[in-house]
Amino acid sequence: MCKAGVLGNMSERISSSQLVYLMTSFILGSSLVLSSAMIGIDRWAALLLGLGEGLAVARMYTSLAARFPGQTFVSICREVYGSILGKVVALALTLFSFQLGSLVLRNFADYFNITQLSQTPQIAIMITLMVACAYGVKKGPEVIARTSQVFLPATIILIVLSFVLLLPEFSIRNFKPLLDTPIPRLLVDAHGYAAFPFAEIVVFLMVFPLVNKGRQIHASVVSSMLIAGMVLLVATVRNIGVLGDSIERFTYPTDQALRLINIARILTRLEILAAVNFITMGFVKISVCLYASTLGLSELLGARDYRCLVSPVALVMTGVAYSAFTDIAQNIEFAQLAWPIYAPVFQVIIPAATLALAALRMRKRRVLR
Amino acid sequence: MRRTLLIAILSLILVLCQGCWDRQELDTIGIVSAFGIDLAETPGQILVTAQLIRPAASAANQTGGSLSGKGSYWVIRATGSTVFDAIRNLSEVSSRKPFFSHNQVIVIGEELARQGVFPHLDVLLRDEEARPTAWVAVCKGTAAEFINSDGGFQAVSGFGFGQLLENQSSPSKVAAMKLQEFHRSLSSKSRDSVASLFEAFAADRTTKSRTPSASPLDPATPSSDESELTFRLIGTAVFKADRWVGDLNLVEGRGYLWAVGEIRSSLVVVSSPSQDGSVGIEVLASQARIVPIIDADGPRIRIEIATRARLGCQQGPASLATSEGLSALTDLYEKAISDEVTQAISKAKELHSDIFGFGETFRESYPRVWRTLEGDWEEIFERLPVDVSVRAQIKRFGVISDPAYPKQR
Repeated sequence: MCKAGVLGNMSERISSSQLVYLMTSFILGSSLVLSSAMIGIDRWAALLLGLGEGLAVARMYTSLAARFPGQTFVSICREVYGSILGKVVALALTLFSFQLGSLVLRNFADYFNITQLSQTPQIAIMITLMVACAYGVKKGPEVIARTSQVFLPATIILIVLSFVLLLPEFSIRNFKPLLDTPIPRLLVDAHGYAAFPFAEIVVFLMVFPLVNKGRQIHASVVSSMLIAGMVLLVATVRNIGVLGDSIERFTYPTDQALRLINIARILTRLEILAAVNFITMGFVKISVCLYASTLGLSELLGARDYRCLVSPVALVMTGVAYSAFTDIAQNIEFAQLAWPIYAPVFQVIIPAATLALAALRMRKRRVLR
Repeated sequence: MRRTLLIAILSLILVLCQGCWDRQELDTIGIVSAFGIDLAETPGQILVTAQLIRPAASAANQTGGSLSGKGSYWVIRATGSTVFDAIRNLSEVSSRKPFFSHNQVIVIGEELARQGVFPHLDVLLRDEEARPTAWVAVCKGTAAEFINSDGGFQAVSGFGFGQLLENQSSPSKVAAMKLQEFHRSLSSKSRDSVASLFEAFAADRTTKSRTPSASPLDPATPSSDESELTFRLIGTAVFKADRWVGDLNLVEGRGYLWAVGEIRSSLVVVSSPSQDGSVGIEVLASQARIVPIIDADGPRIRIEIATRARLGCQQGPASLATSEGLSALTDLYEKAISDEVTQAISKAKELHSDIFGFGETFRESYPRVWRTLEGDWEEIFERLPVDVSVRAQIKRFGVISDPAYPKQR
């Protein structure tokens, strides 16, 4: 089975427009349903500020990609840090991708347990999705990208549709008082939005070398972040306009908002649309994380093809997802309090250090010459 | 070989893992159409009453052309230390698990509403099976009796009452609240909540006067003659925090709905400008805005109501279908609206309950000032000056212009 090179053969390249679909779906992944926001009706502003922070951070990723075209983060690290330290740093990012995948899987299962399937064992929900993801990753990144080309338009249509269906419940008064949240709390939440979901695209450092036109990566990243940001904004505005300040009370505001759809007592119980969005976008996000961590691991181990590792990594990822938290409260506290501090180690510090060191080495080389 | 093994495993999985844990089979659930919460006779216990649909009986009734509710639903009761506990205890009576996703009405009994509803609403919001779109109503007496009452047109009275509350936008004299909105205003610090109020009356076809059963709170299945009792809307229950503190009558109720802009259609009766009987004005549309104002005299409120109407009926012989007639009528109409709103406001002030959300408008528009007002809002609210300004238009007078009298010469 393992016959192609570590990156797979050339036919598995993705185009820059496919990258946009893939990355937009990745960002929307779990954030359409889940939010790390702790503030109420001003979270739309936090979202926009978070998008700004995310765009700034993403500049580093695209600079790395531009400086090392066609190289995964693992080989970038080998070049920048040397073989031993390079492996350590690359392992850190690989583990981050792995952890992110397991977190998304856990959130997915929690969501279904709380809103739809209260009796179903969590592990059954996890396995169902993970099998699909592992299958997709085995088929290659191009397959996942193609899948997202179908799923993303469907998701955007569903979001717009749910907005229109909720217009009778929508009230502009729910946004008032406008921006009354203390600035520090707003900024904390803005950073929360940057850490989840925008800067999570750091795992794409393992995907960028697949893009056939390396020069267009930056444009693709920026446009996918903007598209995802706007879709999230529409969803957030919908939730605030419908739920008002009670938005803070609900575990999943999107689910609660869609529960209120009532068009002539015929179109009701449409919260399943939120679940559909979560399934499709969550599939893409988990698959990308699984791909990035598997590819990273196989490169670190010197394996010839990442495909051999997909099943074991998926298995362990499911296990970690299942045992990472004892309850939903732990999960939410981790997402709200720990993640905005913990994730930037991988989202900001490691890429920034790599970029700085790479620039330094480049200059040294020039000076020596 | 490998292929065969794979197919074998997959078929095995197919056989073993079919269906899922959360399936709800129709013949194992009892669909709840109305749900009542009361205080039980034992202190600290909650009595819940659920109206379960009997699908077979409903179908039989419909094909037989009978609209009598008898047999179409089954009313069961149970007590427990919390609402959820009591719901679970319903299984002591019912062979099928009560299923809440189709519940139309949540009815709160008088005593429980007086004591406060916060402790009892939690499960209805928390459980994913219950819907936030169910109507909330309060009834005089016990909710248990309400649940067991006659359904009128609907074989299942829960659906009848759901429809009734939905149709309140037409007479617009009683506020109707869904669980989501009810709970939101209940838990808001800057406004208070209302709910529809029901009262029992003996239906006309029942000649014998109704004697209350020995104990309506008896958790035993009620006897069938009780369902001759039926309920009607008599006003709007006003809550202060989570306690039911008083009522708006139908006029005050409409005053409230004018102020919050929820009049869809209604008939306002005024005495004729030519002093010959009454004139009914049919409301076509209405909008309202509550404007908070802060000036040198402190906070005050202006309520702006804009409405369009038409001449609906008149009793007297003098024709009103002239521009003078209509404009005189418009003045009376505006006056009538502003009277109703004023009555509703003074009742709300009397009950110390900010049902209009005046506080909320200040919080929305003047968040800083609101923080200084918030502490003693109750006193400020009682003294709060409120202007009501009504802009009305009477546009049309219907199919006939002159009244149905012999032509006057």
